[in-house]
Amino acid sequence: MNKHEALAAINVLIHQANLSKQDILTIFNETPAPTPTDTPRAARRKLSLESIAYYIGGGIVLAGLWTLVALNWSDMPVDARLIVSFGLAVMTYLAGVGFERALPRTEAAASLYFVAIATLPVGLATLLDIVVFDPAAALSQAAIAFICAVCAAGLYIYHKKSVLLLAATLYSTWGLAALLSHILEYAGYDADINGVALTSYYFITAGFSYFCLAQLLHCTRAAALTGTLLGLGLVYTLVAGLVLEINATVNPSFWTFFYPALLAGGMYASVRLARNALLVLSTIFLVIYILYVTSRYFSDSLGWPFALMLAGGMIIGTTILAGKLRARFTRPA
Amino acid sequence: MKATLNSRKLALGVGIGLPFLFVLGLYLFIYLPASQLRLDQDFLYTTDGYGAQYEVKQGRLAPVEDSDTSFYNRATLYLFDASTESSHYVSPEDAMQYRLSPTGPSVEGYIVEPASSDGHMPFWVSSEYTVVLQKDGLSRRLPVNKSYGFDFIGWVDAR
Repeated sequence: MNKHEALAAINVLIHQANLSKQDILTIFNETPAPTPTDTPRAARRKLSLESIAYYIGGGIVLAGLWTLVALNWSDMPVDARLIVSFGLAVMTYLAGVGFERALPRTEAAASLYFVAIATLPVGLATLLDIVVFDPAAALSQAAIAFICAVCAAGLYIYHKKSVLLLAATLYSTWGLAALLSHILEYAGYDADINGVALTSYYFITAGFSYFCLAQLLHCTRAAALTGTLLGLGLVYTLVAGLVLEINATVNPSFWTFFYPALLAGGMYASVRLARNALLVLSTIFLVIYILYVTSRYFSDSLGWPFALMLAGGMIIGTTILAGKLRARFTRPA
Repeated sequence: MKATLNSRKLALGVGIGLPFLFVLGLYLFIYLPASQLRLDQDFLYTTDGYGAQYEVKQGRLAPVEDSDTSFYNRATLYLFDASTESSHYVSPEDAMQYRLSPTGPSVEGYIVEPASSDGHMPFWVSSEYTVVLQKDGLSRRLPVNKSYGFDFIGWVDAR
Protein backbone atom coordinates (compact mmCIF):
# COMPACT_ATOMS: atom_id res chain seq x y z
CA MET A 1 0.00 0.00 0.00
CA ASN A 2 1.48 3.34 -1.06
CA LYS A 3 0.84 6.73 0.50
CA HIS A 4 -2.15 7.62 -1.76
CA GLU A 5 -3.85 4.26 -1.17
CA ALA A 6 -3.32 4.62 2.60
CA LEU A 7 -4.79 8.16 2.59
CA ALA A 8 -7.76 6.94 0.51
CA ALA A 9 -8.40 4.08 2.93
CA ILE A 10 -8.23 6.50 5.89
CA ASN A 11 -10.66 8.83 4.08
CA VAL A 12 -13.18 5.98 3.64
CA LEU A 13 -12.90 5.04 7.33
CA ILE A 14 -13.40 8.68 8.39
CA HIS A 15 -16.58 8.99 6.23
CA GLN A 16 -17.89 5.73 7.66
CA ALA A 17 -17.33 7.32 11.12
CA ASN A 18 -15.04 4.45 12.12
CA LEU A 19 -12.00 6.75 12.54
CA SER A 20 -11.87 10.12 14.34
CA LYS A 21 -9.34 12.93 14.26
CA GLN A 22 -8.44 11.99 17.85
CA ASP A 23 -7.54 8.45 16.74
CA ILE A 24 -5.11 9.85 14.16
CA LEU A 25 -3.51 12.20 16.70
CA THR A 26 -3.20 9.33 19.20
CA ILE A 27 -1.22 7.35 16.62
CA PHE A 28 1.15 10.32 16.21
CA ASN A 29 1.57 10.81 19.98
CA GLU A 30 2.19 7.13 20.72
CA THR A 31 4.79 6.58 18.06
CA PRO A 32 8.05 6.09 19.99
CA ALA A 33 11.00 8.38 19.37
CA PRO A 34 13.82 6.80 17.39
CA THR A 35 16.27 4.92 19.60
CA PRO A 36 20.05 5.43 19.31
CA THR A 37 20.26 2.15 17.37
CA ASP A 38 17.84 3.56 14.77
CA THR A 39 20.09 6.53 14.05
CA PRO A 40 22.25 6.24 10.99
CA ARG A 41 25.84 5.15 11.48
CA ALA A 42 27.16 8.55 10.41
CA ALA A 43 24.99 10.27 13.02
CA ARG A 44 26.22 7.93 15.74
CA ARG A 45 29.81 8.57 14.72
CA LYS A 46 29.11 12.30 14.88
CA LEU A 47 27.68 11.93 18.38
CA SER A 48 30.72 9.93 19.43
CA LEU A 49 33.12 12.55 18.02
CA GLU A 50 31.08 15.24 19.76
CA SER A 51 31.48 13.41 23.09
CA ILE A 52 35.21 13.01 22.55
CA ALA A 53 35.48 16.73 21.71
CA TYR A 54 33.75 17.58 25.01
CA TYR A 55 36.29 15.50 26.97
CA ILE A 56 39.24 16.96 25.06
CA GLY A 57 37.88 20.46 25.65
CA GLY A 58 37.42 19.72 29.36
CA GLY A 59 40.97 18.37 29.56
CA ILE A 60 42.41 21.48 27.87
CA VAL A 61 40.48 23.78 30.21
CA LEU A 62 41.83 21.77 33.15
CA ALA A 63 45.40 21.91 31.80
CA GLY A 64 45.13 25.69 31.40
CA LEU A 65 43.77 26.17 34.91
CA TRP A 66 46.44 23.97 36.45
CA THR A 67 49.20 25.72 34.53
CA LEU A 68 47.94 29.02 35.90
CA VAL A 69 47.82 27.61 39.43
CA ALA A 70 51.22 25.89 39.14
CA LEU A 71 52.90 29.11 37.97
CA ASN A 72 51.65 30.93 41.07
CA TRP A 73 51.63 28.01 43.55
CA SER A 74 54.85 28.93 45.39
CA ASP A 75 53.64 32.52 45.97
CA MET A 76 50.29 31.45 47.41
CA PRO A 77 49.59 31.30 51.14
CA VAL A 78 48.48 27.93 52.51
CA ASP A 79 44.76 28.77 52.76
CA ALA A 80 44.78 30.14 49.19
CA ARG A 81 46.27 26.84 47.97
CA LEU A 82 43.45 24.96 49.68
CA ILE A 83 40.78 27.26 48.26
CA VAL A 84 42.22 27.09 44.76
CA SER A 85 42.70 23.30 44.70
CA PHE A 86 39.29 22.46 46.20
CA GLY A 87 37.72 25.46 44.49
CA LEU A 88 38.63 24.16 41.04
CA ALA A 89 36.93 20.84 41.74
CA VAL A 90 33.81 22.51 43.17
CA MET A 91 33.54 25.13 40.42
CA THR A 92 33.95 22.53 37.66
CA TYR A 93 31.31 20.38 39.33
CA LEU A 94 28.88 23.32 39.57
CA ALA A 95 29.52 24.14 35.91
CA GLY A 96 28.65 20.50 35.14
CA VAL A 97 25.36 20.85 37.04
CA GLY A 98 24.61 24.00 34.99
CA PHE A 99 25.38 22.23 31.71
CA GLU A 100 23.27 19.23 32.70
CA ARG A 101 20.27 21.54 33.11
CA ALA A 102 20.98 23.65 30.00
CA LEU A 103 22.13 20.84 27.64
CA PRO A 104 20.68 17.64 29.08
CA ARG A 105 21.15 15.60 25.89
CA THR A 106 24.90 16.22 25.52
CA GLU A 107 28.01 14.82 27.17
CA ALA A 108 29.15 18.30 28.28
CA ALA A 109 28.01 17.79 31.89
CA ALA A 110 29.60 14.34 32.14
CA SER A 111 32.94 15.66 30.89
CA LEU A 112 32.90 18.45 33.50
CA TYR A 113 31.96 15.98 36.27
CA PHE A 114 34.91 13.84 35.21
CA VAL A 115 37.26 16.85 35.31
CA ALA A 116 35.88 17.79 38.76
CA ILE A 117 36.42 14.31 40.19
CA ALA A 118 39.88 14.13 38.57
CA THR A 119 40.80 17.43 40.29
CA LEU A 120 39.60 16.36 43.74
CA PRO A 121 42.79 14.41 44.72
CA VAL A 122 44.86 17.61 44.42
CA GLY A 123 42.60 19.37 46.93
CA LEU A 124 42.77 16.40 49.30
CA ALA A 125 46.57 16.17 48.95
CA THR A 126 46.85 19.89 49.75
CA LEU A 127 44.67 19.38 52.83
CA LEU A 128 46.80 16.44 54.02
CA ASP A 129 49.95 18.50 53.45
CA ILE A 130 48.55 21.32 55.59
CA VAL A 131 47.66 18.96 58.47
CA VAL A 132 51.24 17.55 58.40
CA PHE A 133 50.66 14.23 56.64
CA ASP A 134 52.96 13.37 53.78
CA PRO A 135 50.64 13.29 50.73
CA ALA A 136 53.10 11.02 48.89
CA ALA A 137 53.02 8.36 51.63
CA ALA A 138 51.18 5.18 50.69
CA LEU A 139 48.55 5.51 53.43
CA SER A 140 47.82 9.13 52.46
CA GLN A 141 47.40 8.05 48.85
CA ALA A 142 45.05 5.27 49.92
CA ALA A 143 42.97 7.75 51.95
CA ILE A 144 42.83 10.23 49.05
CA ALA A 145 41.89 7.50 46.55
CA PHE A 146 39.12 5.98 48.70
CA ILE A 147 37.60 9.39 49.53
CA CYS A 148 37.56 10.18 45.79
CA ALA A 149 36.07 6.74 45.01
CA VAL A 150 33.25 7.31 47.51
CA CYS A 151 32.59 10.83 46.12
CA ALA A 152 32.55 9.50 42.53
CA ALA A 153 30.21 6.64 43.47
CA GLY A 154 27.91 9.07 45.30
CA LEU A 155 27.82 11.44 42.34
CA TYR A 156 27.12 8.49 40.01
CA ILE A 157 24.12 7.48 42.10
CA TYR A 158 22.84 11.07 41.94
CA HIS A 159 23.68 12.06 38.34
CA LYS A 160 23.65 8.61 36.65
CA LYS A 161 26.66 9.50 34.49
CA SER A 162 28.62 6.35 33.71
CA VAL A 163 31.92 8.23 33.55
CA LEU A 164 31.61 8.77 37.32
CA LEU A 165 31.32 5.02 37.85
CA LEU A 166 34.53 4.61 35.82
CA ALA A 167 36.20 7.20 38.08
CA ALA A 168 35.03 5.31 41.20
CA THR A 169 36.47 2.07 39.77
CA LEU A 170 39.83 3.66 38.92
CA TYR A 171 40.10 5.35 42.33
CA SER A 172 39.31 2.05 44.10
CA THR A 173 42.08 0.35 42.13
CA TRP A 174 44.49 3.14 43.06
CA GLY A 175 43.45 2.99 46.74
CA LEU A 176 43.99 -0.77 46.98
CA ALA A 177 47.34 -0.47 45.16
CA ALA A 178 48.37 2.17 47.71
CA LEU A 179 47.36 -0.14 50.59
CA LEU A 180 49.37 -2.93 49.01
CA SER A 181 52.31 -0.54 48.71
CA HIS A 182 51.96 0.32 52.43
CA ILE A 183 51.96 -3.37 53.39
CA LEU A 184 55.10 -3.99 51.31
CA GLU A 185 56.84 -0.89 52.64
CA TYR A 186 56.12 -1.94 56.22
CA ALA A 187 56.70 -5.68 56.11
CA GLY A 188 57.94 -6.61 52.65
CA TYR A 189 61.65 -7.01 53.40
CA ASP A 190 61.72 -10.77 53.82
CA ALA A 191 63.76 -12.49 51.12
CA ASP A 192 60.75 -14.70 50.33
CA ILE A 193 58.51 -11.70 49.63
CA ASN A 194 58.77 -10.43 46.07
CA GLY A 195 57.11 -7.01 46.04
CA VAL A 196 57.14 -6.63 42.26
CA ALA A 197 55.53 -10.07 41.79
CA LEU A 198 52.84 -9.39 44.41
CA THR A 199 52.05 -6.03 42.80
CA SER A 200 51.79 -7.72 39.40
CA TYR A 201 49.42 -10.36 40.78
CA TYR A 202 47.35 -7.58 42.31
CA PHE A 203 46.96 -5.95 38.89
CA ILE A 204 45.99 -9.31 37.38
CA THR A 205 43.21 -9.63 39.96
CA ALA A 206 42.22 -6.02 39.21
CA GLY A 207 42.06 -6.87 35.49
CA PHE A 208 39.86 -9.89 36.22
CA SER A 209 37.68 -7.69 38.42
CA TYR A 210 37.22 -5.22 35.54
CA PHE A 211 36.13 -8.10 33.24
CA CYS A 212 33.51 -9.16 35.82
CA LEU A 213 32.34 -5.57 36.27
CA ALA A 214 32.02 -5.16 32.49
CA GLN A 215 29.93 -8.33 32.37
CA LEU A 216 27.72 -7.08 35.22
CA LEU A 217 27.18 -3.66 33.60
CA HIS A 218 26.56 -5.13 30.15
CA CYS A 219 22.77 -4.77 30.28
CA THR A 220 22.50 -1.75 32.55
CA ARG A 221 22.40 2.02 32.20
CA ALA A 222 26.23 2.05 32.39
CA ALA A 223 26.66 -0.37 29.45
CA ALA A 224 28.74 2.29 27.65
CA LEU A 225 31.58 1.51 30.09
CA THR A 226 31.84 -2.12 29.01
CA GLY A 227 34.42 -1.53 26.27
CA THR A 228 36.59 0.75 28.44
CA LEU A 229 36.56 -1.71 31.35
CA LEU A 230 37.41 -4.66 29.10
CA GLY A 231 40.28 -2.69 27.53
CA LEU A 232 41.67 -1.54 30.89
CA GLY A 233 41.33 -5.04 32.35
CA LEU A 234 43.21 -6.53 29.42
CA VAL A 235 45.98 -3.90 29.67
CA TYR A 236 46.39 -4.52 33.44
CA THR A 237 46.58 -8.28 32.90
CA LEU A 238 48.97 -8.19 29.95
CA VAL A 239 51.34 -5.60 31.48
CA ALA A 240 51.42 -7.50 34.80
CA GLY A 241 52.06 -10.82 33.01
CA LEU A 242 54.93 -9.27 31.08
CA VAL A 243 56.44 -7.81 34.28
CA LEU A 244 56.22 -11.27 35.92
CA GLU A 245 58.01 -12.86 32.96
CA ILE A 246 60.72 -10.16 32.89
CA ASN A 247 61.31 -10.46 36.67
CA ALA A 248 61.28 -14.27 36.72
CA THR A 249 64.34 -15.74 38.43
CA VAL A 250 64.36 -18.90 36.28
CA ASN A 251 64.56 -19.13 32.48
CA PRO A 252 62.19 -20.08 30.96
CA SER A 253 59.61 -19.38 33.67
CA PHE A 254 55.96 -20.35 34.05
CA TRP A 255 55.00 -17.00 32.52
CA THR A 256 57.08 -17.66 29.40
CA PHE A 257 54.56 -20.35 28.48
CA PHE A 258 51.44 -18.92 30.13
CA TYR A 259 51.74 -15.43 28.64
CA PRO A 260 50.93 -16.62 25.08
CA ALA A 261 47.82 -18.26 26.58
CA LEU A 262 46.83 -14.87 28.03
CA LEU A 263 47.31 -13.26 24.63
CA ALA A 264 45.27 -15.99 22.98
CA GLY A 265 42.58 -15.37 25.62
CA GLY A 266 42.56 -11.68 24.71
CA MET A 267 42.17 -12.51 21.01
CA TYR A 268 39.45 -15.07 21.75
CA ALA A 269 37.61 -12.47 23.86
CA SER A 270 37.88 -9.95 21.02
CA VAL A 271 36.23 -12.43 18.63
CA ARG A 272 33.66 -13.65 21.15
CA LEU A 273 32.63 -10.13 22.18
CA ALA A 274 33.22 -8.67 18.69
CA ARG A 275 35.53 -5.97 20.10
CA ASN A 276 38.14 -4.65 17.71
CA ALA A 277 39.94 -2.73 20.49
CA LEU A 278 40.71 -5.96 22.39
CA LEU A 279 42.19 -7.46 19.23
CA VAL A 280 44.37 -4.39 18.67
CA LEU A 281 45.60 -4.45 22.31
CA SER A 282 46.32 -8.20 22.19
CA THR A 283 48.23 -7.78 18.92
CA ILE A 284 50.34 -4.91 20.29
CA PHE A 285 51.28 -6.98 23.36
CA LEU A 286 51.97 -10.03 21.19
CA VAL A 287 54.44 -7.98 19.12
CA ILE A 288 56.11 -6.73 22.34
CA TYR A 289 56.28 -10.29 23.65
CA ILE A 290 57.79 -11.61 20.41
CA LEU A 291 60.50 -8.93 20.53
CA TYR A 292 61.16 -9.64 24.22
CA VAL A 293 61.34 -13.43 23.83
CA THR A 294 63.56 -13.11 20.77
CA SER A 295 66.02 -10.85 22.55
CA ARG A 296 66.04 -12.95 25.74
CA TYR A 297 66.11 -16.48 24.40
CA PHE A 298 67.27 -16.43 20.79
CA SER A 299 69.72 -13.54 20.41
CA ASP A 300 72.54 -15.56 21.99
CA SER A 301 71.84 -18.95 20.39
CA LEU A 302 70.86 -17.77 16.87
CA GLY A 303 72.71 -14.46 16.87
CA TRP A 304 71.07 -11.06 16.48
CA PRO A 305 70.68 -11.08 12.66
CA PHE A 306 68.72 -14.37 12.61
CA ALA A 307 66.84 -13.42 15.78
CA LEU A 308 65.71 -10.16 14.15
CA MET A 309 64.61 -12.00 11.00
CA LEU A 310 62.68 -14.49 13.14
CA ALA A 311 61.04 -11.69 15.14
CA GLY A 312 60.14 -9.75 11.97
CA GLY A 313 58.60 -12.85 10.36
CA MET A 314 56.55 -13.63 13.49
CA ILE A 315 55.32 -10.04 13.73
CA ILE A 316 54.23 -10.10 10.06
CA GLY A 317 52.43 -13.42 10.69
CA THR A 318 50.75 -11.97 13.80
CA THR A 319 49.60 -8.91 11.89
CA ILE A 320 48.13 -11.05 9.08
CA LEU A 321 46.30 -13.22 11.64
CA ALA A 322 44.96 -10.15 13.48
CA GLY A 323 43.81 -8.60 10.19
CA LYS A 324 41.92 -11.76 9.21
CA LEU A 325 40.29 -12.00 12.64
CA ARG A 326 39.27 -8.35 12.50
CA ALA A 327 37.81 -8.65 9.02
CA ARG A 328 35.80 -11.76 9.84
CA PHE A 329 34.68 -11.46 13.43
CA THR A 330 35.01 -8.07 15.07
CA ARG A 331 33.50 -4.63 14.76
CA PRO A 332 34.87 -1.21 15.69
CA ALA A 333 34.88 -0.63 19.48
CA MET B 1 16.09 -19.39 36.05
CA LYS B 2 16.11 -16.78 38.83
CA ALA B 3 18.46 -18.92 40.95
CA THR B 4 20.87 -19.20 37.99
CA LEU B 5 20.75 -15.45 37.52
CA ASN B 6 21.48 -14.86 41.22
CA SER B 7 24.37 -17.34 41.29
CA ARG B 8 25.83 -15.65 38.18
CA LYS B 9 25.59 -12.26 39.86
CA LEU B 10 27.17 -13.73 43.00
CA ALA B 11 30.07 -15.13 40.96
CA LEU B 12 30.56 -11.77 39.26
CA GLY B 13 30.42 -10.03 42.66
CA VAL B 14 33.19 -12.30 43.99
CA GLY B 15 35.19 -11.58 40.81
CA ILE B 16 34.79 -7.84 41.31
CA GLY B 17 35.84 -8.20 44.97
CA LEU B 18 38.95 -10.26 44.13
CA PRO B 19 41.44 -7.34 44.44
CA PHE B 20 39.98 -6.51 47.89
CA LEU B 21 40.39 -10.16 48.95
CA PHE B 22 43.97 -10.20 47.60
CA VAL B 23 45.00 -7.15 49.61
CA LEU B 24 43.14 -8.44 52.68
CA GLY B 25 45.05 -11.74 52.38
CA LEU B 26 48.39 -9.93 52.25
CA TYR B 27 47.38 -7.87 55.29
CA LEU B 28 46.52 -11.03 57.25
CA PHE B 29 49.55 -13.09 56.20
CA ILE B 30 52.31 -10.47 55.92
CA TYR B 31 51.39 -7.26 57.75
CA LEU B 32 49.75 -8.64 60.90
CA PRO B 33 52.49 -11.19 61.82
CA ALA B 34 55.22 -8.58 61.19
CA SER B 35 53.42 -6.00 63.31
CA GLN B 36 53.72 -8.39 66.30
CA LEU B 37 57.51 -7.88 66.38
CA ARG B 38 58.24 -5.77 69.46
CA LEU B 39 61.77 -4.56 70.11
CA ASP B 40 62.85 -5.23 73.71
CA GLN B 41 66.05 -3.15 73.91
CA ASP B 42 67.17 0.39 73.03
CA PHE B 43 70.05 0.82 70.59
CA LEU B 44 72.50 3.47 69.40
CA TYR B 45 73.00 4.34 65.76
CA THR B 46 74.46 7.02 63.50
CA THR B 47 73.32 8.45 60.17
CA ASP B 48 74.89 10.64 57.48
CA GLY B 49 78.37 9.31 58.22
CA TYR B 50 80.85 8.01 55.69
CA GLY B 51 81.68 4.64 57.19
CA ALA B 52 81.71 3.59 60.84
CA GLN B 53 82.87 6.37 63.18
CA TYR B 54 82.03 4.76 66.52
CA GLU B 55 82.45 1.28 67.94
CA VAL B 56 81.88 -0.57 71.21
CA LYS B 57 85.05 -1.20 73.23
CA GLN B 58 84.80 -2.95 76.57
CA GLY B 59 81.07 -2.20 76.77
CA ARG B 60 81.45 1.55 76.11
CA LEU B 61 81.15 3.83 73.09
CA ALA B 62 84.48 4.76 71.55
CA PRO B 63 85.43 6.63 68.34
CA VAL B 64 86.96 4.55 65.57
CA GLU B 65 90.56 5.76 65.48
CA ASP B 66 91.13 5.94 61.72
CA SER B 67 87.63 7.19 60.76
CA ASP B 68 87.05 10.36 58.73
CA THR B 69 85.67 12.75 61.34
CA SER B 70 86.11 16.05 59.54
CA PHE B 71 83.32 18.57 60.21
CA TYR B 72 81.25 17.75 57.11
CA ASN B 73 81.51 14.00 57.56
CA ARG B 74 80.73 13.88 61.28
CA ALA B 75 77.91 11.40 61.90
CA THR B 76 74.99 12.25 64.20
CA LEU B 77 74.39 9.89 67.14
CA TYR B 78 70.84 8.76 67.92
CA LEU B 79 69.33 6.65 70.67
CA PHE B 80 66.37 4.52 69.50
CA ASP B 81 63.87 4.16 72.36
CA ALA B 82 62.23 0.71 72.02
CA SER B 83 59.24 1.57 74.24
CA THR B 84 58.12 4.57 72.15
CA GLU B 85 59.74 3.50 68.86
CA SER B 86 61.24 6.95 68.40
CA SER B 87 64.77 8.34 68.04
CA HIS B 88 66.44 11.02 70.14
CA TYR B 89 69.66 12.87 69.48
CA VAL B 90 72.39 12.11 72.03
CA SER B 91 75.74 13.78 72.40
CA PRO B 92 78.84 11.55 72.20
CA GLU B 93 79.68 12.54 75.80
CA ASP B 94 76.29 11.28 77.09
CA ALA B 95 76.42 8.14 74.93
CA MET B 96 79.81 7.25 76.37
CA GLN B 97 78.13 6.79 79.77
CA TYR B 98 75.88 3.96 78.45
CA ARG B 99 76.74 0.29 78.90
CA LEU B 100 76.57 -1.27 75.43
CA SER B 101 76.58 -4.68 73.76
CA PRO B 102 78.25 -4.84 70.34
CA THR B 103 76.43 -5.66 67.08
CA GLY B 104 74.53 -8.91 66.78
CA PRO B 105 71.14 -10.11 67.94
CA SER B 106 69.51 -8.49 70.98
CA VAL B 107 68.82 -10.44 74.18
CA GLU B 108 65.58 -11.79 72.66
CA GLY B 109 67.11 -12.47 69.25
CA TYR B 110 66.14 -9.34 67.30
CA ILE B 111 68.37 -8.00 64.52
CA VAL B 112 68.35 -4.40 63.24
CA GLU B 113 69.84 -3.76 59.82
CA PRO B 114 69.53 -1.46 56.81
CA ALA B 115 67.51 -2.59 53.79
CA SER B 116 66.12 -1.16 50.60
CA SER B 117 62.63 -1.36 49.14
CA ASP B 118 61.35 -1.05 45.60
CA GLY B 119 60.21 2.56 46.13
CA HIS B 120 56.77 4.11 46.26
CA MET B 121 53.51 3.34 44.49
CA PRO B 122 52.57 3.96 41.73
CA PHE B 123 55.86 4.09 39.82
CA TRP B 124 58.38 2.15 41.93
CA VAL B 125 61.16 3.81 40.01
CA SER B 126 63.53 4.62 42.84
CA SER B 127 64.70 2.41 45.66
CA GLU B 128 64.06 3.61 49.18
CA TYR B 129 66.57 2.99 51.96
CA THR B 130 65.15 1.94 55.27
CA VAL B 131 65.97 0.08 58.48
CA VAL B 132 64.24 -3.17 59.40
CA LEU B 133 63.70 -5.21 62.54
CA GLN B 134 64.04 -8.96 61.98
CA LYS B 135 63.34 -12.12 63.96
CA ASP B 136 62.31 -15.67 63.03
CA GLY B 137 61.95 -14.94 59.31
CA LEU B 138 59.68 -11.92 59.91
CA SER B 139 60.71 -8.33 59.31
CA ARG B 140 59.21 -4.88 59.51
CA ARG B 141 60.32 -1.31 59.03
CA LEU B 142 61.58 0.69 62.00
CA PRO B 143 60.85 4.44 62.16
CA VAL B 144 64.43 5.71 62.37
CA ASN B 145 65.28 9.35 61.68
CA LYS B 146 67.23 8.98 58.47
CA SER B 147 67.84 5.60 57.00
CA TYR B 148 70.50 6.61 54.44
CA GLY B 149 73.98 6.08 55.86
CA PHE B 150 72.54 4.12 58.82
CA ASP B 151 75.18 2.48 61.00
CA PHE B 152 74.17 0.30 63.94
CA ILE B 153 76.56 0.74 66.90
CA GLY B 154 75.23 -1.44 69.70
CA TRP B 155 72.44 -2.42 72.08
CA VAL B 156 72.02 -0.34 75.24
CA ASP B 157 72.21 -2.60 78.29
CA ALA B 158 72.07 0.22 80.86
CA ARG B 159 71.95 4.01 80.79
